[in-house]
Amino acid sequence: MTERTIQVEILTRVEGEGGLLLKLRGSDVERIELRIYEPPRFFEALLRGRPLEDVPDITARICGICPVAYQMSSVHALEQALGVAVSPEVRRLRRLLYCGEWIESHALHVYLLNAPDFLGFDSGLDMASRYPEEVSRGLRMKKHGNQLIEALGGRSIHPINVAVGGFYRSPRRDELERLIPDFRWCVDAAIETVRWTASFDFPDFSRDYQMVSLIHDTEYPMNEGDVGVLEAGPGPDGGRGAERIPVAEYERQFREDHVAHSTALHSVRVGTGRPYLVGPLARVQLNWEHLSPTARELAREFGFDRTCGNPFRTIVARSIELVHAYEEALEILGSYEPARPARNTYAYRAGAGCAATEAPRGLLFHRYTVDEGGRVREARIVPPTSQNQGQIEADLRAWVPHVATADDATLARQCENLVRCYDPCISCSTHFLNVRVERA
Amino acid sequence: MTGLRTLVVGIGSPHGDDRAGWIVADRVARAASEARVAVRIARSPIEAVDWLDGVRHLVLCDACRGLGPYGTTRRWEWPIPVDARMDWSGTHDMPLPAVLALAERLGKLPSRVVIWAVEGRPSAQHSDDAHLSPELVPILDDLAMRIVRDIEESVERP
Repeated sequence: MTERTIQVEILTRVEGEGGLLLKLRGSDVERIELRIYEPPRFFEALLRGRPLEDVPDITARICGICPVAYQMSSVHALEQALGVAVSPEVRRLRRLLYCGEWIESHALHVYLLNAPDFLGFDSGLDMASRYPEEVSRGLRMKKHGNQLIEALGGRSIHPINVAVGGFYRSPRRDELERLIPDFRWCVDAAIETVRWTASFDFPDFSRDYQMVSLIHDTEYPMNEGDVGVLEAGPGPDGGRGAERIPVAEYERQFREDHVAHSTALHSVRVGTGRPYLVGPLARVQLNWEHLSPTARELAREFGFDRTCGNPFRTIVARSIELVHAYEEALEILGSYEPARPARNTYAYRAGAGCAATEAPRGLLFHRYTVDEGGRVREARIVPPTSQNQGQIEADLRAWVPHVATADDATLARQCENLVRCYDPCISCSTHFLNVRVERA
Repeated sequence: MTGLRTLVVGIGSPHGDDRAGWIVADRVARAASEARVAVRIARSPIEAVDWLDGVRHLVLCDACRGLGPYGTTRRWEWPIPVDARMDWSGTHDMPLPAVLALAERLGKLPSRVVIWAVEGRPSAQHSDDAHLSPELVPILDDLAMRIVRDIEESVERP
């Protein structure tokens, strides 16, 4: 029986640095390791002893693509610890900021990172020559997402306007209203994006996922809700049949395990030890009823009102979320009133708080303990890529037999394609250093 | 920008030596005599892709690291080799070579592209200090003049 070892030293078109090891005996998979070797970054330890006001700006530095997610989860958790409520205007502004992040992250991934896989190109650069109109459309969509973040956050990468209790400054109406014409164009462009991605030739591959996403009674989840768990199965759901877990229970229901080959932890469900899926595919299916009207119709048209376990079709779910994000952003932009005050005040007190929000790549959990002087005593951050990592390996294990007869280069490429569907952010996920101590 | 001959783009931010590209752009705007020279500043290289309609000569200026001693300047003409891994592998944004390669594939890149870079001070590049290192000021003045001469020479060419 032929033994084959396929090693992808550096995964391309993913955020951060990781590799993939695949050992086959015939068409049987002996070993699959998504190797995240980027050094751990110790953000949780870095936060200890610092003023809690520093947390949103420090955690934003974890990622250049999804800094808003880190700011949102951190301020919500800290506000819970301090007993601070934010005004409805601040809440809407935070959703608007999150729309900007989903837009810039999703547009980048759909057009430049993931679409080349389905159209047979090695890179977004190669694809641009043959699909200049589509790539230009994706770049413009991304640009307007970045402009929204800049208008709200002061700058488009690592914004600096998010504060515990609200924002440091409410944007003026004219600063946001000037974005409206471009966002109207973007809604049409996003609809076109859904139709374009849905036309791709997807492999016939489906998984029985345990899908995990925030769920909310009245809105598509970004900033708040319970944790919903949906076991894959037939029939429409919309989150109604999902198990609901309060965010405060998250750490009792989900666990992170160390694995030797990765500086990222692997998340599993407590009790079953099963990996689970977070991100757009789970989010759309758990919440499709709360999508914006156009996005909801598209979700129905392309089958996301019932269970879809094909990870390759995540690009369509991501595109549907682009429609939602532009439509929700337009609604908020059109009715925006500056929050006064921009930020609620608070008194320091010892306490603990946790929060989960939906980063572009999936659920992002933060927990903080603070002391009576307003300093961070303890921090815990569980990013979406850690939560997906075990599922990615499980999916690769199931996928490889479908393509095992291919030559090594093709097989490696097929595996990379699958990994890219989850839009992993490796830099976000590196938390763990495997320290081995040997004593004589 | 139809009919524009030359576009100068300073790339940078308001922080420390990272503002070098912006300052050079400002100096060039004051000194350039050629009527059809436009000067803009950008925070990110990708912004320039939207400004290329009608441009025949693109000049980019940015602070960077790894050129050599502090204040070292360098000039390249496109094309320069682009490592495949520079193709959107970072978490922040597309690096300048990837942006230029993309613009080229999209058929938007002018026939002549010149890139000027200056080595900034690392500590200042990443600080919140709004001020440029004083030692860099005369270097940027000189760099701006070299860019202006380079543009004028290119205009004189047939």
